[in-house]
Amino acid sequence: MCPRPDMPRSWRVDTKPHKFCPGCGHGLILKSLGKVIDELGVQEKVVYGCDIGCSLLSWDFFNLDTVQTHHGRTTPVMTGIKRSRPELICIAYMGDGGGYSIGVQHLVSAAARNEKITVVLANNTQYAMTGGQMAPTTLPGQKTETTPFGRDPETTGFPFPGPEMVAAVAGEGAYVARGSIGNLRQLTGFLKKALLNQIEGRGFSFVEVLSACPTNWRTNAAETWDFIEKEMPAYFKVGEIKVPAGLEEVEAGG
Amino acid sequence: MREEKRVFMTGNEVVAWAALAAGADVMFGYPITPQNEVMHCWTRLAHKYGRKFLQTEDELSAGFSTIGGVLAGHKAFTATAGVGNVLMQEPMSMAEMMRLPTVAVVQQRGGPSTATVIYSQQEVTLTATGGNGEGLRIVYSTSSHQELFDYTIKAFNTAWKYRFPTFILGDGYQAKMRESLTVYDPEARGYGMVEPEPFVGGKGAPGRDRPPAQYRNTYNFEEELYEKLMSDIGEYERIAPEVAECQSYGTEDAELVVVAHGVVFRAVREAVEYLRGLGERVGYFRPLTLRPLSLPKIKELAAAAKKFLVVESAYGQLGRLFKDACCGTAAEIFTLYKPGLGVVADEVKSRVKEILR
Repeated sequence: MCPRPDMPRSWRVDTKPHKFCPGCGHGLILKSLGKVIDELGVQEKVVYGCDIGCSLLSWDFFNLDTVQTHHGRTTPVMTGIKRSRPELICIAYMGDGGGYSIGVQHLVSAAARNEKITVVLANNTQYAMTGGQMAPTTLPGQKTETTPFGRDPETTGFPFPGPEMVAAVAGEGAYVARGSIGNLRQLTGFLKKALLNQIEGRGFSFVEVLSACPTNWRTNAAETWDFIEKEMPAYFKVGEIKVPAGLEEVEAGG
Repeated sequence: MREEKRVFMTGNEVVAWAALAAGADVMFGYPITPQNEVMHCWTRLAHKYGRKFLQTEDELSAGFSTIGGVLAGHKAFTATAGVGNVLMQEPMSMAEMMRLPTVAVVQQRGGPSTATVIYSQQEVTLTATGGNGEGLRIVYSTSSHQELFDYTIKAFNTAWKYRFPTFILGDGYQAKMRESLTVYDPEARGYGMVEPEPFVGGKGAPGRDRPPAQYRNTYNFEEELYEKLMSDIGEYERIAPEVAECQSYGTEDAELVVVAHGVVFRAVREAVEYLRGLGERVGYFRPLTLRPLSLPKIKELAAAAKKFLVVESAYGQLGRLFKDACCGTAAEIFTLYKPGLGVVADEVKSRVKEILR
């Protein structure tokens, strides 16, 4: 019998192995999120929402009440739940297309209203589920199916600075950070703060995570890590962008 | 509001008072004429009676946060019109897929596009069958302020009982004009109100004390989706006879039955009553639910192989629904279509006389 891999208690074991491609970053992000939910002991209170796109494959990922919505619409669904039942802990999980393009109005407005929800957004620099088109986060020169000769900032703009935008519009009490699957310990700490910030009722919490899509990037393991650890951080600076008073000292769990 | 009261108010205010009487917990809305005063009135009532309101960034958000409220187990509603109703179709298609009891009030304005802020009956197709699905919704079309009050209350019960998205289809005339009506507490009248239940955030730890509540609208296989849809369609068809409502008058001996819904029905009723007084063999049929339609009644009327006159402030939106219901019968259908324009009784009288002559 194979030894069972170490899984967060909040995961649904019967839906594992998960549905993501080999090498996908979603599994790592959701493992960090699961660990934080375990550590904070909030499984009974969490409502998890996922988007359209690859994130929808997590609709049965956790032993959490879950709603799979439309592209970028997870934010207003979680807003509706949170405003109706403030005791619940609402997590909206989405990709960069949902959060920064088709649903950007929801992200901006939720941040501006300082909704007491937590948004976690996976940035893999392109639309993965639909077959690798350009996203707001595609790097200059990066080839995608709709920029086959590389993204030209002259005609399609520069990569979208999501957390920086959220930090600019969110009010006092908001927590904003950018983590990476290249540093899971740090990411877990960011996610913990993002949930604590909601639990403690301070304001909007937002964590962008630099994530990998070797399927659409057409990269091997070494190239994937190179992209994650070198190319992406050149545009997307990893770290905390807005930390409210009272959250500075929180450490990532073990 | 324990005591019944005669009041004189606009239709938009009636909607807000009815939502309060129905025990609505929260409204999510975005400004668009002619529904704005639903929000204006609700924000004041919500403040006084401890209910909630959020002005969202658009109708997509209004619809999806209404869905969130419903998922949390609260009676949530929204109101919209025109191009706002176009955006509203995205969340309502999700409500349809997940069988969520959303309540949406639509005050029709002119279309297509921005058109007029005033009035039309051009949102019938959109409200009854909008979205990328089969139109598994319930649509009440009201024609007076009393009905607007009664059916807004009823919409919450219908939604939470049958779990299909439910709409009140009004229009700019009903929204903006003032009319007398009696407002009441439904429970004081002995109408049982269906209690909402949470879809998520129930008691106990998911996975330990109970299975996690997981709602999706994505399906991997055609067969899987087909099975889910046929189950919902079966359920919809099963409840349709319980839900469908209509009114008819003079149809037993009528040579011509005039068909109309909403505020246009008022002109038709006046015309038909007048003409019957003159001895003309004319009657009316008025669907109160546009989805589902009262199919047995329509079949019964059409089987008598009569002439029908469909009157509406649209170019055949009710007409299409009615013709579809009459398919296979010998019914002869005439029309009086005035897209985006009101209809008065004299026009109906003239058209009836023209057909009967």
